[in-house]
Amino acid sequence: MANIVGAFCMPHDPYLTASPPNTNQQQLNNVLGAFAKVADRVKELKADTVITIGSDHYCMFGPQLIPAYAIGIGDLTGPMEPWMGIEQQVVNDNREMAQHILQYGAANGFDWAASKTMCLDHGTILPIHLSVTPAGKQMKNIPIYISSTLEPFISMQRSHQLGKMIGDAVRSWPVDERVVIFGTGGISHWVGTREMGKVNEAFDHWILDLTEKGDLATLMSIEDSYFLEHGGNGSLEIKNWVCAMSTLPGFTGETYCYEPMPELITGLGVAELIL
Amino acid sequence: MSIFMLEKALWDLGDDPHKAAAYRENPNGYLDNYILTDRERNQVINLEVDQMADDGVSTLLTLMVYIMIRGTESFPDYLRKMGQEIPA
Repeated sequence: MANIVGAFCMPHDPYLTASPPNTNQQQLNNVLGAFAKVADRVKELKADTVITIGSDHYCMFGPQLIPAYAIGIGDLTGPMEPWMGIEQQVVNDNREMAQHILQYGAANGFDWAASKTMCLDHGTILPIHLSVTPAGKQMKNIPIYISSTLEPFISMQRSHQLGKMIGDAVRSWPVDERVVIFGTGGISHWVGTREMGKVNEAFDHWILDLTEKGDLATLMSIEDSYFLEHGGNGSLEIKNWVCAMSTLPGFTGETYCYEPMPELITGLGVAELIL
Repeated sequence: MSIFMLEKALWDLGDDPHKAAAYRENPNGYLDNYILTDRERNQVINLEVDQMADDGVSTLLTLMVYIMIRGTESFPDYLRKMGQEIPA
């Protein structure tokens, strides 16, 4: 049977690889070092597959169709954005397990949107590039997108239910595979708004503190309006973290790094979820 | 129609390089493919991102389109347009 052997929360800021001018190099190195530490842990955990839960940024999905949650069940490529400093490439998939998660969801009240040819935006390709590919070229991927940044927003409760279902689906996959879960995005950032560049360190530390305590209930109690006011429109991506956390029966957290980087428009936090 | 049609006009610019090229060549002609008010047409033609944001257009789209049309070096211009005091 498949088993979840590790989980991590991390940003997916595309400027981490795009290297804009005036970036604080020390802070950047700290964040990239944390991603490298995740890659080392993924390798150490002898993972076969990483399920990366991210969100689209109006790159993949448009106003004509915004799925509440979508899964890549076929060919994977990325990144969509040519300016990220990452060459577009084929991404190793695990279509068999992805199909299983799709069908398990359908049988349990979750009607997935499915993509047979998914070109990944930075919401999943950035962490895959920095923490999956370096862990081994054979590593397989399942990308999952939830609508945490595009309206209509997925609810916190549904993110939790979805994560729980994904965990149950993995554990019911009758193949011996070791799976790691990534929840990506956040923490505070205001994307495109008048406040863009602002970082709320107090808010970010609070989120990381709740993560370290494994306090999923408090994270889930945060209203969208609170996120928008105190963490910006980008902080709703904490729902991606909640979805990842909800795949686990329980956890505590260990923060690898936190760096407030206004020039990268984000408070950047990386943490391992200790099972 | 609604800001959703305006969002579609913006999203198509980011999604399809041919449409972006058509917009650069003839913005009015590009916008003839969408049912927009005069105010909305003007907002897209002049990249009035602050107005669009105030009207409820997604700022993920306004940022993406501004950078795409004006280039990555225009990022400080976008912030100025959004009311921030950024030194030249």
